[in-house]
Amino acid sequence: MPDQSFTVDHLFPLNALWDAMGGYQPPAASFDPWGNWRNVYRIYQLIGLSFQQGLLTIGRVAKGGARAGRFVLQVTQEKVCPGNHRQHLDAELTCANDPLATPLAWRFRSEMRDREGRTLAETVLEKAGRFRDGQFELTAGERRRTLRLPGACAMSWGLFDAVQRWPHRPEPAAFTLLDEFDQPKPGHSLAWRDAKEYELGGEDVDPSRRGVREGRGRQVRKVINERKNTIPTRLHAFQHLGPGTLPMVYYTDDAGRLLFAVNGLVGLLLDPAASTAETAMATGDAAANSDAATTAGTER
Amino acid sequence: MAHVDRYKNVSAGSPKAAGESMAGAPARAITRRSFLKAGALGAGAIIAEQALGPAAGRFGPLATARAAGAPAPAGHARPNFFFIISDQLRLDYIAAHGCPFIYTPNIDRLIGQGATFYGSHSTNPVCCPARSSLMTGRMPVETGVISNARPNIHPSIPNLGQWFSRAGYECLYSGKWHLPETYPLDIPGFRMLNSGAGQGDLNDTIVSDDCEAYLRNRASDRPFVLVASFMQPHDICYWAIQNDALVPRELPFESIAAELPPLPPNNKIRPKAPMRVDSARGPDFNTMQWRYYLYIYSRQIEMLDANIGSLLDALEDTGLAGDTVIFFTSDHGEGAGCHGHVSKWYPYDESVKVPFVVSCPGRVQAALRDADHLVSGLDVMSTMCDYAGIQPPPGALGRSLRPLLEGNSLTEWREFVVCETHEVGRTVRTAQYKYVHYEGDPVEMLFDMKNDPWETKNLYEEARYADVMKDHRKLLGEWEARMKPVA
Repeated sequence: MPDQSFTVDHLFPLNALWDAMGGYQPPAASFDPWGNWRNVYRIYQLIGLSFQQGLLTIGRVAKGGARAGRFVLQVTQEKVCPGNHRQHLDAELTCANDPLATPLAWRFRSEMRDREGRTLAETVLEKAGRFRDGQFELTAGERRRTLRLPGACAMSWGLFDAVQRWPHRPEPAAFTLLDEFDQPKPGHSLAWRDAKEYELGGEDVDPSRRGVREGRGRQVRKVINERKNTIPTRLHAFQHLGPGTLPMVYYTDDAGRLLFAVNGLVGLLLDPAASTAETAMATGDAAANSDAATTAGTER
Repeated sequence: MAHVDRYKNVSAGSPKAAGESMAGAPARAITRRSFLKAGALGAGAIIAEQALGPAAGRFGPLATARAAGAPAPAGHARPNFFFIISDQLRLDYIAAHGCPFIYTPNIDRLIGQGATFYGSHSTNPVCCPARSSLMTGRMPVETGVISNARPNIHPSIPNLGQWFSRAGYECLYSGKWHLPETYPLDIPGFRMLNSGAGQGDLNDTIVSDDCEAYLRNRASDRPFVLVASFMQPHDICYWAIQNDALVPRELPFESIAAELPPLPPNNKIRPKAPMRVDSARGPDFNTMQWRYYLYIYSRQIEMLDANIGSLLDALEDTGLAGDTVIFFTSDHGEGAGCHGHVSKWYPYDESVKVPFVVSCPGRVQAALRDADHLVSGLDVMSTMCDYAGIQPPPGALGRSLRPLLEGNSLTEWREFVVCETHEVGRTVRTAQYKYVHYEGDPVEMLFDMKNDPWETKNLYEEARYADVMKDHRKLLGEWEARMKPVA
């Protein structure tokens, strides 16, 4: 049996990302989750020694200011595939400025690019959707579907915004996840889980142990290395559970900034140097509000 | 306990065909050793006989004429084929198959629109060998892919893409291949939409996005064979291997306690077994860990389900649904705690039984749930060829399911299927029994699958089953004699 002495349960599920967090410096800059921000995440596969497979950039444009009824999320994601082919994805979501960042309208484009960066035309997928007259209208090319979802609704990337503004109370919110922009998954919940202090950053006391796995056969585990010169950082954990998704835990700092997320074998780690943030205007901007409303269609 | 009736009151074979026990005596394995007569077959069968030679009749691809009143082909004379492959999906972890703790509305939709076979078996419950059969219609011992360590299909054997390209089809591939490379940039016979990458929870959307894009953007008039090869729920392997990191000894999310699937009733049962089966041990999970493991496996299947949903929507949106025959299966199953096992490799049902769903409105009878016929991954190639009106490749062993798919329940059918395991293991599954033999191992296995569907009692040493054992050994001997292993 592997050694059970290390407090894996204290870290869970951040332990799966731990080897990628060596030397991680938590951001010191101020952060306003209601403002304009742009977070850049390294996407890791958490298999054996974690490795980076892609990059996710997600930005909030609070066009109408912090109190506006809606805001825009701009998303770019790139996943690296064998042969240096890449799946590139761009999306823009208009969301209600409510706790779940309820989707009001969106457009989405994905494509494969070869090693020279050329788009493979037959892999271009474009979709759009909007909420109108009590139901979602989903459009792909000239085809249109409608979808009526009872109760609250959220999208995965909207939750990246939502957790940054989420109250630190354990009461869960129930909702239907509209996954991949058109696949409804009812019975989901999002809740604040706890707040704990973690020792982030620093260096491995014994770098040669990095990536080591202990145990034999089907009983192996990653070694959680002891680190020195770490930075104590309080993290708030939020858990997202429901059908069709692996338990996802988001970690925000005291300012609300989403630093890490772990979802099964996928880990996301905020790159502070690439990310930016600015405080939102305290009052609304009527013109910007009008722009957003045009994009979003009818108010939900 | 929920979900204890394995396969929801279905059995792989007609109980009457198997022969009922009389006064406590075990039913003989073979009560009718019918050989199919060419005179009873349609033209497709005659073609198959010519392709395979005279020995093919008993096991080979035999198609009968479509039954009167069966759905008539619509649209293209030659339909498109959409082959959806999952990885490590058990037959019984689907809501439409009776699993109460899983949400699979899209696979259920596919099953509702088509036919599902409860008697579906992998040819070898591990990735590469099983995939070699799905792609060629040959047993792994014939393709040369007898383990993941020997993943090259013998170059003399055409794969699905090569065979259908020659017949004028546009053949495309997306996702996991694993013959030999997991994610190659090129596959003979196919044009690549993408190679797939890494694990399913991050990358299966690449497979579905690109296949969906192909369907929506398609401009060609040529019929197509499109393969969407997903990784999920294979990711579950890592929950067993890295179990400290992923499966803590206490439930990590209290709110899901009531949602944890129950342990299977045979979790702690390990019948006497050949050494290769007996020596394997699953992880040292406590009950909560097992149940959390099953929870995760269920969610991974649901992720797969959503990806399939996008593809079904695209087929419907583009009007291709009526001209496209969808095949959905898996390379192998998953232990999921049965017999204390995780993963695959074993001859037990949790490992060898996989979904096999075929759907095409107007061509395939809707809502057909077949519990009477033993089918195999070998049958994909032969069934596609039958619908396409082309001969199966020489030596293909599968049978066309088309007569069954069109509602002809009187079709003469095979009496058993064979699964290979651990290179030297062979399983013969007849309507009522499962017989397992490992070369060089004195311990055999015999299960009465009708009365012991969870495979808890190995009957091979019981004298009253001597005749049953004899019958099955003979079947296996005949089967082995027909195999043409590559050098």
